[in-house]
This record gives sequence, C-alpha cells and structure tokens, in this order.
Amino acid sequence: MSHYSDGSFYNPAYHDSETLELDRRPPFKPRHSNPYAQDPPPPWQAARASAVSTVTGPRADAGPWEGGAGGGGLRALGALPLGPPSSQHQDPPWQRQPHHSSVHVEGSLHQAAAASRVPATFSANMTMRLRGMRRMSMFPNGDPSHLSITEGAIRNELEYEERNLVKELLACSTKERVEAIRKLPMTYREKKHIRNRVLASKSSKKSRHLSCLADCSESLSLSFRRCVAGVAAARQALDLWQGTMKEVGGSFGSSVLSYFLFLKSLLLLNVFSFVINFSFITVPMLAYDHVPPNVPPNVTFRGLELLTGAGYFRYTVLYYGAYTADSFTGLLHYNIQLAYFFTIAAYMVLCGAAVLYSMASSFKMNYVLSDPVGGGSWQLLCTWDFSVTNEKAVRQRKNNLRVQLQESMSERSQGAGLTPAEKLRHFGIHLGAWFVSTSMAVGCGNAIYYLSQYEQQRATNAAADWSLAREAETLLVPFVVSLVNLVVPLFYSLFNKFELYSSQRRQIYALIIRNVILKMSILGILCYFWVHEVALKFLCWESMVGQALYRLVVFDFFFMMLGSFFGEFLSKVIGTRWIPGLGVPEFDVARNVLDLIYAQTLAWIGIYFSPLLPVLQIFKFLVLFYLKKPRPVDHRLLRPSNKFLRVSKNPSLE
Amino acid sequence: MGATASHLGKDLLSEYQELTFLTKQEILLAHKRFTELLSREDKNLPDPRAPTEAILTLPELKSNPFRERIVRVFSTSESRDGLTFEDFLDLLSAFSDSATLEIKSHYAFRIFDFDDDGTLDEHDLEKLVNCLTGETGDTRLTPDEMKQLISNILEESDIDKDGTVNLSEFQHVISRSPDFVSSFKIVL
Repeated sequence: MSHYSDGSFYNPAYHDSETLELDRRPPFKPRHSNPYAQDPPPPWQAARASAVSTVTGPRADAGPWEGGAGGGGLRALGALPLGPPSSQHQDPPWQRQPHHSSVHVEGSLHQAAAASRVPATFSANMTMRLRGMRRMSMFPNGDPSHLSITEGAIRNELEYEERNLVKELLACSTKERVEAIRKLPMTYREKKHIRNRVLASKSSKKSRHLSCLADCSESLSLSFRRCVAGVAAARQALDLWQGTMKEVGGSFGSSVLSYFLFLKSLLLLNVFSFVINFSFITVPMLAYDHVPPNVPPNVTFRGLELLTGAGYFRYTVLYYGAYTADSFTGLLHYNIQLAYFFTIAAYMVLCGAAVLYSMASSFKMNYVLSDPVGGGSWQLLCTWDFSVTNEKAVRQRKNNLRVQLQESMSERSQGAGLTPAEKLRHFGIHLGAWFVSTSMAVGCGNAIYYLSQYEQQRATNAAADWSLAREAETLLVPFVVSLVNLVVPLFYSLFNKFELYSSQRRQIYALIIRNVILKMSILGILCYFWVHEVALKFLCWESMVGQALYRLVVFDFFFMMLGSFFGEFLSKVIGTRWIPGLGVPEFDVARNVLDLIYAQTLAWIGIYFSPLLPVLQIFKFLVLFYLKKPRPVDHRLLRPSNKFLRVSKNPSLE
Repeated sequence: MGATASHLGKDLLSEYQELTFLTKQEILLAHKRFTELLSREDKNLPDPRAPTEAILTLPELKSNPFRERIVRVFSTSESRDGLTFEDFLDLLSAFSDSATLEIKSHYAFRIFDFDDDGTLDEHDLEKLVNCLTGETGDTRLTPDEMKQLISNILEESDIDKDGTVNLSEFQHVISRSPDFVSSFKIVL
C-alpha cells in the first residue's frame, strides 16, 4: 500500500471503487437483462451480473466462492499494471493500480482488459461446477443455448485474465514473482498452475536469448534465498521454551504470549552480549593477568558484595576499573583499550539497529489511520483471537465479548453528546491528573537527587572506612528508586480510574506515557548526578557508576519478584480462598512490558561501566520467566484483560 | 502427495515452501500431523483427503467457534468436506505469522460468509455474532440487542448502503484494526 504524506495508507479498493459515489440503485438488481433467461437468474449469476455490469471494482468481489477459486474478490489480480514493475515497489504491481472493472458478460467481453477482478483459473473450476449437478438445480428451466453462451463467455474472459496475469509475472524478478504468487488468495492447485505456466513461458523465452549473466545472478539469488531459509529453519529448531509458549498462547491469547516472547528475545539478547563481552574483553584480561587482582589486604569476600557490588567485587573484572590500559604483547598484539571500546560500541549499534528494524516492521504491519471509530462492535467481532485453544478460555472470551458488545451498545445509545460543561469538566480532570502525575515524577526525581548527594557526602566523609554498615548505606538509593517505581504507578492507576476517557486505547496510552515519564526522569537525574558529581570527585568514577548500576539492577530484580508475589500470587490466593467475589487480577501486559524495558535500559546504560552485567540480566530474566509463567488456573476465575490491548508484535513500541 | 506417506520429497518440499508462507519446519510438522489424521487405508492413496470429523479433532481447531466454516472454506472437494494435504497447507499458510493482511482479510471474509454468497448480509452477521457469543439460550443476545448490533455494524462498515458488507468494505474496516493480523493466527 502506498502512503500519504500524513502517514495514512492508501487502500486502492476503497478509494477507487465507485461505490463511494453512493450507488443509489437498489441492490442486487440484475443490471443487464439476459434475453435468454427464462426465469430470474440464480443468485450466483445475479451477483456476478450485478458485479459485472456496474463499473464498480468492489462489486465484482461479490462473486461466488465456488470451486475454491477464491471468488471474485481478488484485488490481487484486479488491476493490470500500466507500467513495468520496478524493484522499489513493495507490492506486486496489480495491487497498486486503480481498479476500473467493467466486465460485461454479454457484449464486449474483451473489455476485461481493464482489470476484472475475477481469477483467471476460475475457468477450470467453473466449468467443473457448471457441468456438475449444481447447474441443473440452478438453471431448472434454463435452455442449453443460454447456458453455453454464459459458460463460454465466462471461460474466455477468465482465460484472458490468466494470460495477463502470467504476462505480468513474467516481467517480475524471481523474488517478486515468488512473493506475488504467495500472496494470491487462490487454492494451492491454482497457484501451482499459474506458477507452472510462468515457468514454462520463461523457459521458452530463455531458450531464445541466452544470457549468461542473468543466469548467474539468478542462481546466486536462489542460493542466497536458500541460505536465509536455512538459517530461519535452524533458528526455529533451536527454539527455547516452545511448548510453554504454545500453552500460554492457547490459554491466554496472543497479548499475554507477546509479553513472554519479548522476555525471551531480551534473554537471548543478553546471552549474546555476555558472550561477546566475555570473549573479547574479559578472557584476554584474565589470560594476561597472571598476577591475582591487586586487592588491598583487608578486603575479603563478604556476602554483602552480591547485593552492593562494592567491596571485593570492586577489584574484579566485573567493573571497568579492573581493566588495564596497557596493550598486551604476548602471542598477539591485543590492545585492550580499543577492544573494550569497540566491543561495547558495536554491541550498542547492533542493539539499536535491531530495535529500529523490529519497530519498523511491526509499524508497517500494524499502522492504523487514527483511533478506530469508537472501538466499535465490528472491531470486537473481527479480532477474535484464533490462537486460543483451551475450551474454558474460549468460553470465557465469548462471555466477555458478549458483555463488551452489550456495553458498547449501551454506551452508544447513551453518550451520544456531552454538554460543553461536562466536556470542560472532563478536560479539567485530565489536566489536573497530568499535572499531579508530572509533579510527582519531578518530585521523586529531585528527592532521589538529594538523597544521592547526601549519601555521597557520607561516603566521602569516611572514605577509608569500608565497614559493613557503610556498605549497607549504599543500598539506600537503589532501594528508594525501586520503591518509587513500584508505588507511584499504583497512584497513576488510581488516577486513571477517576478520569473518563473517550476510548480504552487513550486510557492505556496515557497510563503508559506517565509511567515512562516517571522512570525516564529518575534515570535521567541519576545519570546527571553521576556525570556531574561522581565523575568530578573520584578518580575511578566509572567503577563507582558501575557499582551503582549493579545495585539498581539487583534491587529492580528483587522488587519485581516482590511485586509479582504480592500483586499476582497473593491476590490470587485472596481472590480464590478468602474473597471469591474479587476474582483473579488480570495479567497487565502493558505494565509488565514496561518493567522489562526499564530493566533492559538499566543494563544498556551499565554495560559500558560493567561489562559483565548481562550475566545478572540473564539470571534475572530466567527467574522472571518461571515466576510469571501463568499456571493453568481455573478459568472461572481468570478474566482475560478487557482492555483494548494492542496485540503488537513488538511491544517496544508501547 | 507424490511421496510415501511418511516422507516428503525434497522437490515437493521446496515447492510447498515457494507457494505458501510456511517454513520447512512448519511444513514437515503439518505433514506429520496430517498423516496422523488419516485412516489406515487412506494413507496409501495418492492424494488422500482427511475427513472433516478427523480434522475437527485437532486441538488447534477443536474449540474454535469457526472450525466448521474454516474446513469448508479451505476444502476443494465438490461437497466441501475434508481437506487434502494441499488444502491443509493452504489453511496453515493463511493463518501463519507471515501471511499478509490481504490474504487474512480475504479468508476471514469467506469464513464469516456463512451462506457463501459473496457478501455479508444480516443473516451472516447474525450467525457470526451467535458464533462468538455463545450458542446456548441464556448466553445469546436478545433479538432486540441483535438487531441493534447488526444495524450498528452496518452503519460502521456499509459504505454503499446496500444493506450488506462486501469484501472491500470488510477489508477497509479490517485495515483500521491493528489487532486483526495478530489475532487471526493458528500455529500447529
């Protein structure tokens, strides 16, 4: 589909159809009178006739589906391109051209040139059908001459279409041809037929002008495509947790599944980053460093290091500080400075590219003009989740759908128009809520800044004294940060309940944006603090920052576990045993995805200062997966989320 | 199928890969699951057709409200009963991850078109809503609600005001729904 400048996309079938000029003729009236018909034409022919004689593209789609030929609705076949297809275009040529079908069964048959929408290989199946018993029942009093004209005429026209389609496909490159044939909404047999025809004409053409270069490039692209397919197949074979994913998707639907897929992809990303960091940076360091790390005499490993990351860990390869600035001149000349810098830089660039690519591809698939009309009933009906396979879940969803439909209908009948006073009131409430939430975010940021400063002063006052208490104090800031990240979003959800939004979608976006503002402001303030204060005070400030990030990651992990425990597990217990009426809370995909993104952002910031931080992330994500994996609960209690969640392939868009 | 029941030839496999959206892994899995559905005698036929009842026992389709319509739409037999392996691949391809919006919306339209007349009229819509809200008496919508719902739907999507929704109007509505592509998915 081509794109307008405002970002909306062009749906040719809609814009070029003449039905937009309100066709005021009564529906299904046969536009042409068949002089040979003895009785009213059968429904399929009436539909085709009306399709055929009106100059309406979409109308022609109202053809019967018999013969599995995919009926008339083949926009794919519709228009014949008026120019040679160029490699820049994404869609096969026939999807881009305007459809001006004017196919007449009787009379000018060959006006079908201007893109009829009827599939070419309709012919084979149509004749099959026409010869069958059906024909007799459809044309009870029809006379043979009429039938043969209709049949012959249709067959001719379809043959013509097929020839045009094959001609078009011949002009494409192999890759485009393959993609185009795949996109045809025909049965397998028909696609094969078309493909064979194209290949046959291609080979006959080839024998005429042998082009060595074209041959070479063809075989090269073929082998390249095979390679890519092989890689994809290998990746699929090594799929982690496939069984669990399918089970989760079957019981809970695609949106919950998307969260777990995202978790899995982040885990794999961290494994990859660990592998490259370890092999390029740490291993050479360890191999070179024959002497044990230069640890001061009174520092030994105490259990607290796992939490604080300071103390003994400070002198290990965990942090930037332990890497020497010399280059090794052993077997190879290995400049560890460059290796460090370039490895991390390459990893960040790759990550950035991967995120952008997946955002772009999911954007292409999911782009939508604007808010759909009121979240209407049609949307509810068409987005039935086909991947849900658990019977109880299906029943639950049907119930939910019924309730939603009833709600949306009552909403429609009531809230047609709000008075200006009410609108002003709602606007005022929105404004107030936004003001309060932003000020909360700013307030928390400031509090954390001053807390960090205070803690810094305490640390510098007693610099040499690394007692247990002193180290434990460093845990204060991460603790407060994680607490804030847990508690304040609850307030935001509370505000959300008081506000009245015009659509579910806006409500979710508002909540997400507020949470993002909160988290980003806290991170931003911390970064500012590190760069401006810590960097000036300490010599090896990178290690200090690395330690701070280590602590943040650890506490984020603990609070996530705690949140999961209290939020989901405990509420489930309360909901089932003590207060059954409350039910089980929904799995809030948006909030969980946001938490994952925040955790990964911390890791990305910290990777420069602490190359082995991905190890922690891997461990964290593994535990999180098994913790969050929903056990097959009693579906009477489970309410799949009623909100209009974007079942987006790439949750990082949210 | 041009090969023994338990083993797909390499040429056939690459042809399947070229003409559908499925990967090699998915095709082999589909083949395995398909042959499990066949009866012993059928397995030796050149192009066996699995009966509808057997297909409806697949766990992926068993609880789907549209299971019978799906089999009917993808079946190429005269009586619309039973799927050959190629039909089965067509089905999986249309419901796969990589199928395009056009393909999915095309087949969704055909599945929702209960009377196979090429448009969605009131009866089709009524059957569609009943399929999705429940079959038993107490879970259905009342006739008034149904009428209201259908008129809402037609108001939203019927552009040429002929009382039915044709393919283009359907595809237009679908294109405004970003969740459709990810919901319209069945994976073995």
